[in-house]
Amino acid sequence: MKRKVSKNKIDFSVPENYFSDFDKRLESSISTSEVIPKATGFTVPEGFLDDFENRVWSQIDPGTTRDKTVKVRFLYAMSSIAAILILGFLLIKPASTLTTEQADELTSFDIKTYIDDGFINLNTYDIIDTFEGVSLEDIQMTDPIPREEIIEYLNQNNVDNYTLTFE
Amino acid sequence: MEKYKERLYWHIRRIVLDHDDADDVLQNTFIKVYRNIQSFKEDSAIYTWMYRIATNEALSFLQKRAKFYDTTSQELQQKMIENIKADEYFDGDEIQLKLQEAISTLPEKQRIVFNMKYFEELKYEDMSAILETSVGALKASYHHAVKKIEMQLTKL
Repeated sequence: MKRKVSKNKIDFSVPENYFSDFDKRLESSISTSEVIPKATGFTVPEGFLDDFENRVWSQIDPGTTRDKTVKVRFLYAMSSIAAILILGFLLIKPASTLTTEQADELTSFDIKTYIDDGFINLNTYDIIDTFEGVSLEDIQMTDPIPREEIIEYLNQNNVDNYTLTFE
Repeated sequence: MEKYKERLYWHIRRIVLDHDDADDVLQNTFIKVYRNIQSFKEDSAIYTWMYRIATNEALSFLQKRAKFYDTTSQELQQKMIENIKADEYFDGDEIQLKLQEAISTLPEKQRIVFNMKYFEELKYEDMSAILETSVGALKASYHHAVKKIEMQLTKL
């Protein structure tokens, strides 16, 4: 190997390009480590990403998937009919919106059924977003859920200690 | 979407650790991409823009979760690691579990830089565009992260 004569007075020398290549060598020496494994051990359910696009499209535009070709003319006609019906409904029954009294009559069973039937697609992200800053103590329930039912639900759904430790 | 979903999934998964959470965050990432595609400036690569959205979504998800449970992000990380052991979508061995524990002790920025460089093998220039941090700072973060993790793993 060629040796470069040091300009320093001390009589040491370094290999050629030692300093110019230093960054590259340092980078490559820490980019892979003999101690740190490359595999993480994380897995995913089989076929998880196969229908991912449809799931995203259904959230962006419920009822629409990429496989469906929606005919604009058909949509236009349906929109026109819907607009006429809504207008007629508003003119005939202007005061028929859901009142506070009616909303109070909704039991938690009704709401659960509504969610179970797929009318609302709630995920963890949405729930956290919705209840951000809300204390559990502030949530009033019309039909308190018996303790036995809660324990049974936790057992059946294999809820781990994670949730429970954050009481 | 086809081109990036897997890369972004693993990027998010390494931040939030849990599969279901990663799925939620990935969906939200693509919804944001779809809704904001008009504002995408073509002077940067689309994948760095998508990576930035995914990173922000994942970090925001963790912040909201920590706030929801009224805990610190460090405590949340520890709880997430404890959960990994029981996670049906984690089949790592003892070393891999120790690796996750070691990563969880890093400050947030170092953790992300380490994941992006070590596992995803992104270039510093791309990471700089995604994280809006200088290349020099990223190299320093990565160097510190590797040393800390190596130290923890060799303690075994």
